[in-house]
Amino acid sequence: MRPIREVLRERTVEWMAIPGVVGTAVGEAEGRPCIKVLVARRTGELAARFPADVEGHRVVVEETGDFRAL
Amino acid sequence: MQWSRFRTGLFLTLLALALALLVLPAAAPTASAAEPPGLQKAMQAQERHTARLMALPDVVGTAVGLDAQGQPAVKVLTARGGVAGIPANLEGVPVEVEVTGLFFAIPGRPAGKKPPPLPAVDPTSRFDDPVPIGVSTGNEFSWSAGTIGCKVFAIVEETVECYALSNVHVFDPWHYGVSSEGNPNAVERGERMVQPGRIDDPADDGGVATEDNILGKIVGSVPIDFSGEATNYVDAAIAIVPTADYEGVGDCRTLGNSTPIDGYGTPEWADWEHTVCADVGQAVQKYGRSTGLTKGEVSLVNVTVEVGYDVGTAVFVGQILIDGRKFLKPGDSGSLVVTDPGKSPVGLLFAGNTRGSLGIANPIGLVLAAFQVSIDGTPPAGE
Repeated sequence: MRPIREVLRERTVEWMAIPGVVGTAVGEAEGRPCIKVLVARRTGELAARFPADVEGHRVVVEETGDFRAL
Repeated sequence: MQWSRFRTGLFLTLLALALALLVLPAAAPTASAAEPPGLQKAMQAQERHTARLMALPDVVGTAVGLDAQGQPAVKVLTARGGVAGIPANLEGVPVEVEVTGLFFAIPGRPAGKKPPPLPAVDPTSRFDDPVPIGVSTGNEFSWSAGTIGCKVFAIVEETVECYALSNVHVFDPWHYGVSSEGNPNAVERGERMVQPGRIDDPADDGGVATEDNILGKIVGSVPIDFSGEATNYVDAAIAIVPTADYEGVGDCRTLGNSTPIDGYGTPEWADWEHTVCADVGQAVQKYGRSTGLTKGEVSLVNVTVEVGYDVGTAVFVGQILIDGRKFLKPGDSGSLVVTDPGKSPVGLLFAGNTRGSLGIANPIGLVLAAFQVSIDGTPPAGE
């Protein structure tokens, strides 16, 4: 299994281009590192565009809203 | 009170006698199971002599009780042994000295109640010398406010220079550190930072910034690239503040290295080679101009994220995302994020979601490396 950061780096550019995606990150799910795709608003259609896992690393779509400089 | 006590005592004695006569018809009329003989006399003696006894040094109280022989006695309570002037008996009632020590009111607290909160501090106000970290600041020409993250320093040609650290979008809200032909940035223009930010000064008339509020000169910034293709790492800028070596500008208040009293206090020292890594799950806290002291948890790392600014969207990489209820609001930009409870610097807050529950911070090591500065703080544990 390739390191999660390496896998994430490769996919980020492609995923960030999808409308509604505001970010990607390394997070944790069930005690293990996972890939998180951050979306402004989570819809079934948007979430369906991402695989459940990439090269053994779980992918979770998380709604965060938009980010702004505060 | 003396009289009513006597009457109460007499009543009780008579009641006891009556009961005793009912229960034990053969018992002597002066004996009673309810009250020892002579107790009344002892009480009267105590009341008549208490004022005089209490006037003696180191006498802390008087009472009525039973002596070692089980006889009613006047008790004299003292702070220490060997107190002079206490009689052996009063009007035939034996006197017994009891060394109790001094008595103090113990500030008790009902179980489950929290201690009273510290006095509230308003981080948007103007602070006297030394100015704490975590409070309102801004650019002298901008009707806005952000937060002074912390005090940083560098040794430049054998003198120590100190700076206030915040975001470039707080110190340079017009140019974001970007310099171009004919359009220099805040550093090149020699713009200055104010404390508080102009929007927080009730006396601000909208003209030139009050000289009394000028705290430092903006001397360093990292430009933000809004082109969409580029990647940004930090949203940061520094303003030099007065020290013993440097007279500074404006009213010459110095910058301290601690939050106001209702914050977390002083962060740990750190430089770009010595920082604590923010791991998922790390408990953190921050003190900022809008929400003061708030707490959260690092929930995401290695964050690539699009951040909206007034002039466009910038993509940041390698960021830290903090999750906390009401963690931040507009104006908290520039706050230093530290571990909780350790106070090790972890990041520089600069953005958040509209709900204020998620904050984005630059990893502090990248910020310090950009300016080659260290955080003025306490020595890290173990050093």
